[in-house]
Amino acid sequence: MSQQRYPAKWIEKFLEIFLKERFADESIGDLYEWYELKQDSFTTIRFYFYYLLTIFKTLKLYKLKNLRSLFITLTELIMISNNLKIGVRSLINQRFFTLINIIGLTISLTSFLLIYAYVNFESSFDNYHSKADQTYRVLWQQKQSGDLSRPTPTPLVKALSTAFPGTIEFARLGQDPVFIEANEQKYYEEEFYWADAMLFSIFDMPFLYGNASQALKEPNTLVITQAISEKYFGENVNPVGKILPVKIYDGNTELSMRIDGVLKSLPANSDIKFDMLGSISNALSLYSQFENSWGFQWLDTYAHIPARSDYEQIVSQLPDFTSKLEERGYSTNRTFYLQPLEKMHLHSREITGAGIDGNINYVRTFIVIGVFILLIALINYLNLMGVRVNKRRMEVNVRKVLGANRSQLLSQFLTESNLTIFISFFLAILITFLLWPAFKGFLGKEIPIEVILNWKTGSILFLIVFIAGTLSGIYPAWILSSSKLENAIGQHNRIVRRNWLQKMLVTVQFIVAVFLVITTTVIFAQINFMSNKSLGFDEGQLISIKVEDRELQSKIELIKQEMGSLAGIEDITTSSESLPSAMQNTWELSWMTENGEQIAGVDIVSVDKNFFGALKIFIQKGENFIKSYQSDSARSIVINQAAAKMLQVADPIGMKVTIGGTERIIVGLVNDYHYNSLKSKVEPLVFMISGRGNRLNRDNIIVRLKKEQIVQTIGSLDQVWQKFSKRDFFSFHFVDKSFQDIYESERSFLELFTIFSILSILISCLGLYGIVLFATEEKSKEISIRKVLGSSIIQIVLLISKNFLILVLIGFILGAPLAIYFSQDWLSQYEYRIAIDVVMILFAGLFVLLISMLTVGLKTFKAAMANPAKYLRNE
Amino acid sequence: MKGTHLGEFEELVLLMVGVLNGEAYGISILKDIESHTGRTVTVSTVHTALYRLEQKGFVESFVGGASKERGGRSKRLYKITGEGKTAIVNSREVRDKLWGMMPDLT
Repeated sequence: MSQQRYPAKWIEKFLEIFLKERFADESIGDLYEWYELKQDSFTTIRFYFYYLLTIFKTLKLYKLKNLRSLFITLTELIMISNNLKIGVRSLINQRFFTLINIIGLTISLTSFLLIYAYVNFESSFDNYHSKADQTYRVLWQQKQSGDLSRPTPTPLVKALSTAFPGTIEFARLGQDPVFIEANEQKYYEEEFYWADAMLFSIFDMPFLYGNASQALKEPNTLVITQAISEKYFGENVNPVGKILPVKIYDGNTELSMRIDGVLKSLPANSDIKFDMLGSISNALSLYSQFENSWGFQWLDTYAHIPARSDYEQIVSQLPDFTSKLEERGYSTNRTFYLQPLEKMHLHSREITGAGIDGNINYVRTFIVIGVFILLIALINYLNLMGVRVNKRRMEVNVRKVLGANRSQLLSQFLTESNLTIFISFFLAILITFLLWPAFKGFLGKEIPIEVILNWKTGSILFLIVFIAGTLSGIYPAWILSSSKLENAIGQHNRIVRRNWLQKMLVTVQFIVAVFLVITTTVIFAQINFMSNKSLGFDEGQLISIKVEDRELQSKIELIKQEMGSLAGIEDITTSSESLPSAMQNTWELSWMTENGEQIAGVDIVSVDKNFFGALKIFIQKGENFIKSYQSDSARSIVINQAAAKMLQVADPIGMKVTIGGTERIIVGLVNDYHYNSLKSKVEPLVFMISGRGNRLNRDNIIVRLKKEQIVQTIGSLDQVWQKFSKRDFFSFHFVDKSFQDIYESERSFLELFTIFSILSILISCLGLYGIVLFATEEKSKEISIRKVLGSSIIQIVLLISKNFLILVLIGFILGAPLAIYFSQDWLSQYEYRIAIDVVMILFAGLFVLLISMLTVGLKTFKAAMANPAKYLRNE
Repeated sequence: MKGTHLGEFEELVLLMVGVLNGEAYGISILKDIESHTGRTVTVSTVHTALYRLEQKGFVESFVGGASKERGGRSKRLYKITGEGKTAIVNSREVRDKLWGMMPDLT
């Protein structure tokens, strides 16, 4: 007879879990017997086949447990593990500490998850394109200053293709708002771009309808997004081939354009945004005057360079390329820069006209804070586990005496710490899901939840949780294993506590706390500074009215006059730039110096003679246009201080310069006023009274209202507007509010930063409180004896707090320089910034001191107040 | 009567439970079926039949002793009930009646 064999153990377990009690024993027992009975009578393969068949057939629905009892079985199965049983018991036994731990860890893991989502989303921009690593954005760079700007001139692509034949593919995008009349309504489409057909082969833009390889190849063709298609043609309609009448606003022409394709909605993490694309060949013929104009920049140029070697070659030959352009009579002090597509979102803040809100500083800051929050919570956890060891030493020693070895002790602690961490982890996931809509709203970004719902994130989180759980389990086990067995159960035998480690960990927490408080204070002060600093003009009661329509623009003087005669108007002016100004027109300015001709780019603002008066901009030297208005107004210009500085002359009045081929005379010098936020530098500006017919049209009416009856005045302004325009809405904004709105992203950054700072300090305090709790408990007898011997309460509080206060001090000394360094770095992104002063830093230090004093003091005070008899009566 | 119909295999198992007289459980029934009829059946088939018979009230089960061969699992033994006896007697009477009506086939 063959040796007794048994069926696989796991099958038995499996059946036991899933089968109802009524059937489990019967089936498993009979299987055993069947196994023994049959194993000799079949061939092996046939035997196993029958065996599996039997098991499979055993799993009849009526024999299976329902979900509820299945769940109970599973829990019981897990609970069988003794470690877990003890673990859960000890967690419940020490409710308060478990609570501190779980609260701290949950807060920190939730914060970490949210920060991770933000960072992940921000760094995912446009890297999903399959050619992302070979694609670059061509930027226009000033040679001396290195300043970059986004728009490039029309002839660039042709010149580059000639200079580097066959190595680059280009896709250009040029914004040009249009009007579309459909369904008997007129729509203003701002996000209309002229585009190259190459766009669809360089970037991954899936088509819903139409063919990517055929789209935009011919003039008068359009590609639109799904949302636009639904707006004009209705849902689930394939509009390919249909004609849309498009009125080009700047070109002042009407085109009938054929729809070539409809794009699926573009993902949220792309900066290449548009609603409609028109074939660029239309624009090239429409604006043929710009064909060879290097002075007029308006296109986004993307270059796809497949070979890395080509890229390097092109970069090395760019200086040569630009100097050749200079030789050909095109004088420039600019060159080009190829910005990798993957850096576009986060590294474009410095680029003029980039229109991208990504900010690497924010991402870095949040990474720092995310790591800190995690670190603080882990340190807490480690410390609390560490101090708890003292409470547990009896239990541990009994286990040792009974023969538990080191690995058994370790596994006990590992189970406990992992249990806590996993509970927190699941709570954190739950809270993250609940907070998600609020989080999105807060950031003002449509972050899809898939950012954290993927395998990569899952495995990172699991790793963090696992490392954290293991570390905090090893730590107490390591402390305990140092005690010797022979005096393991001695009453007076204190285990050597790793005090230095605990102190070090607490110090790290204080360093982080000091760091966060100082940084928050600095950020707050900077934002406060930016929103309150005088802009150099009076932004009170100013409204800016946009005149979009070309026809209306030609009547802008008339509108201005009518509006100006209203009672509630204090002053009125027109300008080519709204406030805050984007400065869309950069021209070359050349002037003579001792060293010959100099050339630089300046921003041109077309104004009328009321401009400086209405805005209350101080004229430093010379005069407004008023005096020269009659005689030579077309040639007179006013410049700002920045421009005067650029010209390097003490008194620029009367100086002659050339702008766009025309000689101009400087008649006035005005203060540098902040035409945009304090984030950006005031660039050299030239104000002129220009004629119509180019992109320098004055298309904004800026009105200063009287303080009284603002609502009525706006109503009468609307009436005047209605008289001139039947189709366009009267749209205006308050200048002061718009300036504040610019700091919106800073404010939400500050809010987020503050929230996370407060949370991490809260977690630190929780941990500190836990440690103090143990310290006072351990020293309760000492305190009582001191009290009996006549110590005052203050003395006792100081005795215990002293140690912690020293740690706060060390934390401050180490944390402050770190924070100063980081804050300086953060501030350097602002052109106009505050200086970090001692008061701020001392304030932050005092704040941390106060908070930790409160945390430590409360508990020690309570201990000092206790009746000594309570602790001494057993002695 | 609906729900108390005796299937062919069920009848076989019910007979075996009767034959084994208190010693009937999954494997003993399986062994006897295989030795007497030459059919190969799986344990779960027998269990299913027993469960159905129990639902119909033809057999009753009780937990028997455990043994080492069974991996320490207790047996579930089956005993025929009065209704079960009636059922097989009925079924036999039907057969006998029909056999009586059968013309000589040889």
